[in-house]
Amino acid sequence: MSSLRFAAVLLLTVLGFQQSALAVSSDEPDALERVLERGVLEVAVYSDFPPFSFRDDRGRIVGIDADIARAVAESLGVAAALRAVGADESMEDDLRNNVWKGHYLGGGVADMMLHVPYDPGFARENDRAVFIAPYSREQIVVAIRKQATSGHDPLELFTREKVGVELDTLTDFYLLTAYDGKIRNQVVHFRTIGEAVAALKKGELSGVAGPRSEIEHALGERSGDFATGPVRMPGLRSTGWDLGAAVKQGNDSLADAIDTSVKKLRDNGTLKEVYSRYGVSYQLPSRLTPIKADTDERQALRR
Amino acid sequence: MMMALFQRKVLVNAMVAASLSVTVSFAGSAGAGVTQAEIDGDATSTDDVVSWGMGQQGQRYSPLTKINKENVKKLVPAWSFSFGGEKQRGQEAQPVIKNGKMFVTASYSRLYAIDSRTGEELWQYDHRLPDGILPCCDVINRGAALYDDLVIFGTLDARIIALNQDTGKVVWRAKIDDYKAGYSFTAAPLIVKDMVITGVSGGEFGVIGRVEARDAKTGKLRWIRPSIEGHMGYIWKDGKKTENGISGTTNATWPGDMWKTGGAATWQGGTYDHETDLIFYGTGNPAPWNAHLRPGDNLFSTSSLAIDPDTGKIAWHYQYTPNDGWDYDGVNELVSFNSDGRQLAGHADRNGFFYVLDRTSGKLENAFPFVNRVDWAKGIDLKTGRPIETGVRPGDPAKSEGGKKGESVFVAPSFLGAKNWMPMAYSPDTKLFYVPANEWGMDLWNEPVTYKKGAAYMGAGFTIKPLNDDYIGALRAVDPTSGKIVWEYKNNAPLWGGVMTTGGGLVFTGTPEGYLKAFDDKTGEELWKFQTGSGVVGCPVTWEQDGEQYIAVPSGWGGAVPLWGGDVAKTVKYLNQGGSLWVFKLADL
Repeated sequence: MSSLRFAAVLLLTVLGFQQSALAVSSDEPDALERVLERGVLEVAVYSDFPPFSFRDDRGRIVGIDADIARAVAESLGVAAALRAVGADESMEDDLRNNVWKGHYLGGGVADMMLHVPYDPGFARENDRAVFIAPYSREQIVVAIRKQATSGHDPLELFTREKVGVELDTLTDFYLLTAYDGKIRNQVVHFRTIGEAVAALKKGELSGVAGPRSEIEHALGERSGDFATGPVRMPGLRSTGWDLGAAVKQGNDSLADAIDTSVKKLRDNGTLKEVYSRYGVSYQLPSRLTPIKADTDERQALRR
Repeated sequence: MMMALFQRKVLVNAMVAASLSVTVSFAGSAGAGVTQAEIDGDATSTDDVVSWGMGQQGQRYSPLTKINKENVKKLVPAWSFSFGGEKQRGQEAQPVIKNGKMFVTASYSRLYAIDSRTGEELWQYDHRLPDGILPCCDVINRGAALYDDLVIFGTLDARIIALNQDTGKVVWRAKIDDYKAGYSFTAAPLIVKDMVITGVSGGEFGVIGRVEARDAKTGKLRWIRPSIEGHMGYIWKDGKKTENGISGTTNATWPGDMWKTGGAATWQGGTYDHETDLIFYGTGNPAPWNAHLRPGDNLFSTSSLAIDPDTGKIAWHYQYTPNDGWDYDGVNELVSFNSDGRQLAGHADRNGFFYVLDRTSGKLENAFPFVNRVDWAKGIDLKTGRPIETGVRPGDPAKSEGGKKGESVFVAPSFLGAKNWMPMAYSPDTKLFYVPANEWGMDLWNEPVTYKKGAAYMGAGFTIKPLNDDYIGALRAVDPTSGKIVWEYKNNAPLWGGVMTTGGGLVFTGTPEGYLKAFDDKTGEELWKFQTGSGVVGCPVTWEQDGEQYIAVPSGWGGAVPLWGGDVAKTVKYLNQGGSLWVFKLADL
């Protein structure tokens, strides 16, 4: 199945991205050909995950990732079939379940998965997937009631006043140990950022900390009542990360087609528009250059 | 509407109908179902197995002597049964047998009723599993409970279902919890005072362990007892849900609001001691995984809870690993036994220590390692009942320098435990416990930046490593009084199946390599083995039928080892999956 041998041919495929150019001299149709033949691009997105992928009143999957998936499919000239997947214990598990192997309960894999970290270090450790199509940057921010903010370092404020976090997240772990554990007793845990922000709106909390997109979306029309922005988080290597897509290793032509499509959506302002549709400010990824594919030698070691 | 969600296959033929009429006459009074008295007396009755543990005290001892050290070599298959379909993976069940019918569960929440004489299927129930379940640790099921004319079992989507033993028709079903929130149920239920007792499985964050009692005839809730301090228990009085006191004291051993999401899943079955009238249930590790975030003992994680079945209140608790930082679940079974007139109980923990408790009070009587290497503690202080820690704990990822990979610590046992779920056995003849142990350790390190659900996350990395070149598994005969290992049998692959011992002086257990084996209970000499065709990770049972002694065990390799095993997975890589039940008796010759 490895299409490394056809690298040159595939490169041509990408440059002249047209149906007619896809008659590669392979015995089997490659991933992109299969997608075009089926007329469907299957995309894995997380279930119940506003503002990225969640069901609207009519049960349709909507959200930023859902809209990006549909836009990518449209640019390939196919329909998007969204597969709403649960998050397993780690991103590695999610990639195995949805991108390169499939869950052991069955169901196979999707053609691509969205909301995947675009991080060279992570890509090196997960060489069964190809990481492409950086589409935005996520960042940890704090939303605080405006009257509570005057002249305080927000984290110092949380040594005395309650702050909501989503359970089992980086923000959660950070605040439990920050300030030598002095914030710990003020940390209130919620299952989702949506629930935390609802408590903030009701005045039960002084602030909420978590990913910007989720907080901005949840604040919605009340965003004017709160100050939302990044804070200094000493000890954390980084308070932000880039998001992209992943396809199975070896599906190079599909990967390149998706990458090209997302670049276009980024350049022509579609991504920004999608984000604003859900009340979220758009941030460009910090890295736009390709993540270099693994060497053959390393791949050989893994098998 | 609900009916459409489930598929059922009922097979009845003339042969089966004939054998049914025979068994009715055996049972004495026609239509008599399994009574609570029969369940409490299961350990001494020899013509049936009507409970998890072959007696809910959990000794897995049968007084039967017809198969013994002298003749065990003549043990041959009587029949074999295939679970069928393309679904295989781990078969961890213990069969139950009554009135000529055997009931056994299989992977993917399937239940079979089989003629215990011929091995012919009477009926089969395939639970239709919803899309999107993410069970943490394979698709296993550990067995069914019998009560009256019902056979009761739990499913991967966290339901409990009672079926009619004769027809396989659903009599009642209840939802334990929401599978979408990470709950499932894989243990065998207990039957206590006409109630079904269950816990919850689920490794997901935010799951709170609890023990629940339901009316065995209707499935209606009777009481709920949470396994984390601060949570309210409930009891139903005249059909009304009534507050029944919180477990422990809020915030006594947890900081902030972390008790609200503290874990301690009750994912393995419990035991019931009818002598002290106490239910013993084990609890899992606390959440989150990083112990530095939750200073305190974190009760009642990694503990045995003794619960009064009438009141649904905790009578006593004993915690094995306070402020657990190694993922040493405390769910392993607590087995009741009597010694010199004293009412004691034995527990072989993940953490490498064997504990003897006074089961009337939970007071620690004895504790000693049952594996060769234990790194996290030097011993257990018998006065305070607390571990004497060595300081070998994973570092705090929040304190790692510049976001680099934290320093790796090697610690034994591994989080898969010196003993995992597989139940041990106790022989009142030899006064020894037979413990299916594993010798392995783990490298543990913090990864300051990993990812979860597309977001940066602080995670832990681990690799499980064998401690010896030639074996991982070790079946050990353990003297609870002296703390001595009387004998051991070493096995190349990790042991993952239940143990049984008999009045015939035999100890039975299975191996991943596919064998069911019989050992001399005093010397450990291997006296017999049979290759079942796939790994044995189920629980053997024995019973008497038409004057002959039979032995049954499920076969089918799977469970947590191939999913989590790290370097260990190499020793089991070439094992084939399967799905069958084997039944043995002495050759007629």
